[in-house]
Amino acid sequence: MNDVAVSLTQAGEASTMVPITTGTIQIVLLVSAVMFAIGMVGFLTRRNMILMFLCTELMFQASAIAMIAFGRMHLNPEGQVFVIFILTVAAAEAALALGLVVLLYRRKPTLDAEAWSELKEC
Amino acid sequence: MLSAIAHTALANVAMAGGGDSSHGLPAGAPFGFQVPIPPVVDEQSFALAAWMIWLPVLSAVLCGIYAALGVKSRLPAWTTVAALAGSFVIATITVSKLDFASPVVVHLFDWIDISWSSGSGSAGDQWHGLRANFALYLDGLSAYWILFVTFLGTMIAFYASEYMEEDTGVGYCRFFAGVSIFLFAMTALVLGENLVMLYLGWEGVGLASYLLIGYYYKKPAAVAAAKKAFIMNRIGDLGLALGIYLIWLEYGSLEFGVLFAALQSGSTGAGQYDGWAATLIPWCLMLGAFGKSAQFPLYVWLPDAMEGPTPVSALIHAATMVTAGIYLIARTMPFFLMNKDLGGHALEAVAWIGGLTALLAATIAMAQYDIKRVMAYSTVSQLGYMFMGLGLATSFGACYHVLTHAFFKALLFLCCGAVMHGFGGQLDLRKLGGIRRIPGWGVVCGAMLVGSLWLSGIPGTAGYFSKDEILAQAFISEGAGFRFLGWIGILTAGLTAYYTFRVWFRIFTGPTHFKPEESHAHDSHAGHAGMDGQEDHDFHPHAPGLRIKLVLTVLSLGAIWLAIGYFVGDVWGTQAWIKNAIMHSSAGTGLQLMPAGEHPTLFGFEPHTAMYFISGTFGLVGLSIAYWLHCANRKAADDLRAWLIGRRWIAWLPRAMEHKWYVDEIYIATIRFPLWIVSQALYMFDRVFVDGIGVNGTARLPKLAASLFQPLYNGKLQGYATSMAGGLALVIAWVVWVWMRGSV
Amino acid sequence: MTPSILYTACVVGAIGLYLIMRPHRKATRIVGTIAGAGALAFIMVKVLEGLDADAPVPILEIIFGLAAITGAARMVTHPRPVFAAIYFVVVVVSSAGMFLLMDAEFMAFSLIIVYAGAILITYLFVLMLAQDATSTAGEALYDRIPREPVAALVVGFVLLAILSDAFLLVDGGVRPDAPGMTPSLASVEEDRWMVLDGLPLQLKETVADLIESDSTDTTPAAFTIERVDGRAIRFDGTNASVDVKIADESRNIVLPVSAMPTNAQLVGWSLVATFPVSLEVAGVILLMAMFGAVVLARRQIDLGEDELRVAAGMPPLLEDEESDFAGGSS
Repeated sequence: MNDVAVSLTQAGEASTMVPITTGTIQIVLLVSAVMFAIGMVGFLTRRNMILMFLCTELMFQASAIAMIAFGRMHLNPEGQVFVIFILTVAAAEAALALGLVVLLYRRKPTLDAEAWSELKEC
Repeated sequence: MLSAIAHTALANVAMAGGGDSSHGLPAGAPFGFQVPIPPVVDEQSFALAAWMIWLPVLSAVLCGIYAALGVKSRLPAWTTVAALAGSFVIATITVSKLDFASPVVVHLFDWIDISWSSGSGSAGDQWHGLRANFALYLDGLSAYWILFVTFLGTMIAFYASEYMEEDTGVGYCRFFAGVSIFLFAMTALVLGENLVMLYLGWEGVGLASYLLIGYYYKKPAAVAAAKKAFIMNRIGDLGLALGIYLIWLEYGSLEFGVLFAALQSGSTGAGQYDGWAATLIPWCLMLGAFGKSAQFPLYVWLPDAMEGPTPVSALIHAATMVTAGIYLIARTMPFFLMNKDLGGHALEAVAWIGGLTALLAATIAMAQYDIKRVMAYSTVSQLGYMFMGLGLATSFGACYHVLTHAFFKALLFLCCGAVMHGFGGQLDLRKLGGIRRIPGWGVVCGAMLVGSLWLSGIPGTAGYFSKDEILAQAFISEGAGFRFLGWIGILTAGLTAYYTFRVWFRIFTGPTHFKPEESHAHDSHAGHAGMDGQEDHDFHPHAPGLRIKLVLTVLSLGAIWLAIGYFVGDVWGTQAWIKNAIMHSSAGTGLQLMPAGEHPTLFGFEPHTAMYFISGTFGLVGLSIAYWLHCANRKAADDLRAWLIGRRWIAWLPRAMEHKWYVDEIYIATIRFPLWIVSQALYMFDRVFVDGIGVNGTARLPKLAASLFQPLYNGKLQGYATSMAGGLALVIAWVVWVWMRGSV
Repeated sequence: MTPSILYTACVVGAIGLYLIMRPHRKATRIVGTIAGAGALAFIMVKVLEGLDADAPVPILEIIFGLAAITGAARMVTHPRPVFAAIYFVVVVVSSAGMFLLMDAEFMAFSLIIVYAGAILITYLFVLMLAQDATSTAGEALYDRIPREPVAALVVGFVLLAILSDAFLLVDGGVRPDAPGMTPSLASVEEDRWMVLDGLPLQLKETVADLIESDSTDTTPAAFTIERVDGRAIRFDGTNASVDVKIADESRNIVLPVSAMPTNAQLVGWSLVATFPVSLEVAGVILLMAMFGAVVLARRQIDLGEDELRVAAGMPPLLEDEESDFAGGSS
């Protein structure tokens, strides 16, 4: 009995439980941070409403990468589960945001976010 | 319960100073008191006296109701006259029942009665208290005062019912409400059982005076005069308030009965401030008296107060209110005598300021053309005499002069008012003359002659007798330069005769001519513009009516009775009666100071005897000069003036007199101008520091901060997102740098 | 690597991105690209320098990361929205690659399917819809000129500096070999075996396969898995075994490593067993988003006079300074 077990283990099947290396996770987290920053910069600088939402999707991506990386580091599937939720929110947001954009676009035929500055006092 | 304890403690405090009364001082005569102050007798049969004070209140309230109802008739006048007459009658009944030798307190209601402990609740607690009941103090002095106050109040209100008839309506109600308030306050002042009530009356008469001077509130001069009177009086009132406070500190009570008992027992004050009682209290009270009674340097408000209606000038600013200062010093004479006994100079200051004010005001009066102003300065001068009498420690002479002066000065003012009323507001004696010969003016002429004779102190008149009491005392009392002061008084008597008869001769004798006052002429002749320069062409003076004549007659008779009263026995209004009344009050402590040992003499005579001749001579000389300059040879006065102006060495004299010795200018230079500078500086401080930096600067801070952050709030979505992201970055920076790394 | 080097690199990267943002200047864009890429590469090299000498270089991660970042940078700077959307596809695909490298195959493919397949298509669709109406000649002005780039870059790169500081430098950065960071493999294995324990059908199949491969019989023997306290799998730290009763004979069968649940199974198990409420909520959110989109898109707009005139290409009656958006094309 034991022989069988040992032999099976020694068969060298690809294990998913190898700890991630420090270099890998640091590179991946760095990429995630840079993507998040770029997404934020894009959200703040792009005037096109649709592209602004696209930039939020970029930030979602960045956080999803960080989630996956941490989940991998802790050998825990919950990081991926959170990515599913992020996807859910992103999809819902895309649906609503694009509906809103369409609505606004019907009022003023432009995608410029600056055109909608009624919050401004003077 | 508490107040009972407090009161016992107060009585103990008050009596504590009496321990050393056995040291040489005879019982009943500490501090050189001439006559002991009689203790208060508890008497219950004077309930009616309360109405003396309530009737004017009632009248004032009724006048207010009339004004609200829009009464256009003479109802306010009759109400006031009836109330004041009732007050006078009650005063008469009360005084007739009163024994001067035993002062009575009539309790009306509990007013202020508080007490508190200063300690920690242990047995050694000191109890302090302040009790001031609304009660009347009836003794000789207050009885004497209330009698002539209510009598003159009634007479003058009666006179005013005709004089003020042009203003029938709300103004009429206002006037008589003011008079009623004045009478109420004056009654409280005179009859008050304690110094708090006296102070209430003191401020009340000030208020009434302010209201009535400013009666013609559309006239800027009247408003300014009202304000001036009010503000000048504040200076004096500060002194009075401080004096009252010090008295309370030293004696623990403000009730006359307790105070006089303490003083009679020789107490110099049991407060923690040794010697303050004797040194400071008289000076504080003196300041109050000088403010209210228009003495140098606080007299300047009184001539301006003539902007008020003439009955007001007669009642308030000649006969009654301005004598409140005399009353105050007479009432608190024991404090002054204590000061004198302990080596102070308060009484001498009173005498000298009074004498100098008398001379100063008399010289100013000589050069004035406005007859009401002449009378006003004359009032100041006569009040100076009274203070001189008080300072010379003859409270009898001072109070006697108060009474005679009240009558003849009220008479003179009312005559001036009749003239002014009849001649279209004309008060300039250069523009009036020979009124004697105009039909219907006989009574006025005669009454004014009586008043002028009495004021001048011509032998045989009441003013002559009362003034002599004061002047002779100057040569009897011992004090710094009192003899010289006496000669000043005599000189002033001569000047008084001159300026008084200057007015009388100018107005009533000589060729008949008159002009209405400019503004009055302008009003009534607007339709005749361009006729010719003779404005008085169709101006007809209207002679005074029955009521004015009646009042003038009654007052003249009163003045004559005062003169007769010098010779007859103890009947009301006579010298003996007055002396009796004063003697049994607190003023009696300084009745007539006679130094021990040999009596001083004047030219070898007893001073009173000598003064009969000297002051009579001076009065007659003054009268004669006035006759020569203003009646026999009417141009001579102008010639004399021109001659004086033409001589360089003397030209300053008439000029200074005409400009009232530049006192108003000195006030402006020494008080108003520095105050103006200081107030401008404070104004700038207020503008720059308080408003500019303090208030607006504080307001500008958020504005500045707002202008810093305003660009962030541009209404742009992404602008807000930037701020949000910045905030997020800061929060993460905090977390990473401070928490995770532990340092920035 | 010290924080100052990292911050300097961030500043250089920010300057690079700013230069790329400048509209229609090829030279500056090249300089910006070089600066940004240089800064990124410099940091990556510094990260790798700090590692042990014998550690493997994560070359694939670097390649995918660079691709993702390039796509992202191009996406936020490209003046034409459609190209930006397409660059976002690059980002998504690169991210999916990184997911794969992180052993998250299921998420990688679902990312591509959901994002690139669904969401991106919707974006493109709306973009086309809007683009068609306004700009016929070239890109819109508002797409070419970035809005307040300096403030945005400062904010964004301060955030980047802090985040990368936290990831790379604080306490040596994120280190899986630090104590407590990575759970012991035995506990992870136990957790996963327990997941298999929760899947009785799969366990039974696995065991059946094992018995079949072990025995020589052609017909599979009937067996029952014995459970103690509701548990079938016993894990002793290295091996997981199952007690099986075959024809009244008890056998202990050791499970091979390959019998462990796959990644997708683990995610599904976690989703259903650990976060059932969150899953429900996510469903509700999606439903509501759908309702919201329908309601929003169906709403009729009452256009005012000015809006109608503007829509018809005429100048508005009242020249409002706020409405200078109309200068779309130049």
